[in-house]
Amino acid sequence: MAVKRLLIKNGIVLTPLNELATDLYIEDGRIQQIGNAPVPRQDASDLEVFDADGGYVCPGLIDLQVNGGPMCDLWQEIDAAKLDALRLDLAQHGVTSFLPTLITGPVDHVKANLDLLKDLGVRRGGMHLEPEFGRLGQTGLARMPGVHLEGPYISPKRPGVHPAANILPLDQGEIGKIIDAANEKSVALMTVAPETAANGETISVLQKMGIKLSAGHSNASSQEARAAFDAGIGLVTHLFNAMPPLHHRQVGIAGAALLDDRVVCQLIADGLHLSPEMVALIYKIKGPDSTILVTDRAAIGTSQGGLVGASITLDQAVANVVKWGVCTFATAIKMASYNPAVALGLNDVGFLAPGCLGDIAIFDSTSLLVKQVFVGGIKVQK
Amino acid sequence: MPSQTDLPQSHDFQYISDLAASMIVDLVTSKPDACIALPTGHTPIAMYASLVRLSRERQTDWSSVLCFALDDYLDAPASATFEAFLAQHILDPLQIPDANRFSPVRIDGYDSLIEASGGLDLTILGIGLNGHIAFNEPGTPAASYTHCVWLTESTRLANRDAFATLDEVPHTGITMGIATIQASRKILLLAQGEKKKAIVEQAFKGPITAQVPASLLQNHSDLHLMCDFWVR
Repeated sequence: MAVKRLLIKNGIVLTPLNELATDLYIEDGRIQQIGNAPVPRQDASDLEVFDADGGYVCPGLIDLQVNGGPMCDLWQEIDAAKLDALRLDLAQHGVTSFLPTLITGPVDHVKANLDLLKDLGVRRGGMHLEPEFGRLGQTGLARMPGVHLEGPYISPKRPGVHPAANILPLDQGEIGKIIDAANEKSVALMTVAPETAANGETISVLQKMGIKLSAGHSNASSQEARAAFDAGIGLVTHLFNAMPPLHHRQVGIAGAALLDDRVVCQLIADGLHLSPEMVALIYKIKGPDSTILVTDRAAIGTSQGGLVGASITLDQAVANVVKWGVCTFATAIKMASYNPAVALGLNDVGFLAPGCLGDIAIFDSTSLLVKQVFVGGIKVQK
Repeated sequence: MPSQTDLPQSHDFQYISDLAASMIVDLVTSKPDACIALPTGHTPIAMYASLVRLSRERQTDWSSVLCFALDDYLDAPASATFEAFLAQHILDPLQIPDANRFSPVRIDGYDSLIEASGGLDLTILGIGLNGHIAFNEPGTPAASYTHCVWLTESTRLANRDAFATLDEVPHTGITMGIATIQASRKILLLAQGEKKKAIVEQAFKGPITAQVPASLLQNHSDLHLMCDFWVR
């Protein structure tokens, strides 16, 4: 069965750099037209017309940090069925792309899961994603443009819930135990503690592989952090979590990240990892271009009172920052779609324009809840 | 070097790429029907990504810009041509109409077409380890126009990544000549990495010689050298 062409009418399109009250037309998985011009072959039976009913038509959200959910724990054994259940669940929440995230664990276990994710079709996007990217088929599941390796190359001083015994130093030899020629192209993002790097070369070796680096689970001083940013690390993983707090005489990596305009900060806006005031404070400094909303969602939410990942999904993070009065809905959408796409270097997701993939989340304009989601123009089942 | 020394040089290539992209967006904003010559290679990829992002954010209208490929292979499979590279990294994302995309492979009289289109407003260049610009290898005369070339081994090696084996790297190409590039009103030359430092210094601080093609640009009146290392 061929995929139907899709016309979304009566919506407010948030590109999200613009707001347009207009139609959006998708064919062959990609956006062909934004505007009210007649679509080709208007009367054909293979055209599905969706009435957005005044809702916001947004790019599908992109979550850079997903450890799992109730249906799939990426830290344990993974299989295709569990992973597909997670992909469906995320898609239902408006998340049309995410990076499955592996945390610190025994080397063999992390490598096995990375290899498995590679075999299940997870691979880093180039500038463009294929319409069929990540075993999309006709199923309307969230895409997986690469794995986020959140460890084991982190600071033993800032493990969070990561098992400290499995933390490895950041050097070429240790990296080679997990990342090899076969799975290298499946790793999109790595959280590393840059101050633990054996030498300057380690960072550039990873960058040359095409892996984006994010500083996190780090005990870096502001000087060490600045050196890492100078080396081209332009992201920080869950700012303020698993790093030294901001101290007025020792601002540390958090202060350095806030000060440096080159650095984009990822935030867990669940109200627990960061208070609403801190989210507002960060936003006031970093602004709409250098803030990314992530969830760090995990199968379990807490452990003995400590925080283990989060239990929100990204649509809730978007709703939170709007509810807290941090920014507008359009900006919140930008921080959860366009900005993460830019961070990964992806051109055709996170933005609505002709040529971009037909990954769409439609939000109710009053409740700001997800009403309907499309991945590559395919309707996600509810 | 009239206008090179006033340009920021930094060790951060992302910054350089953003800066170059910002200059290009400024040009297109002030002249929506500009003629631009575009390079292929590793170096411009970050700049192209930045250009797409900036154009989206500033809503730059690219619909009337004429885009000229600097060069291309003559004997490459379609997927490995520079045409395909430019489509993927810059022309498709910016939605450049097909009618405004030009390749020397497809057009006879490339120089006449460029001239008839008003001349190049901007040429973006990389530089080869032997000082080549586009496919103008050492020895190419300053008075050269668009022409076919045999690629040197150093150039074939540098372009090897896009092919399974070195044998598959094409041997022939077609390129704008030095005079074509020299006639461009503005030139941006991007160089990334310490490995390019020696040749950049030789080309722009050394003698003007056809043996280092980039050195022939030294007298250009609006040349911007943008690199992530310090040029002494």
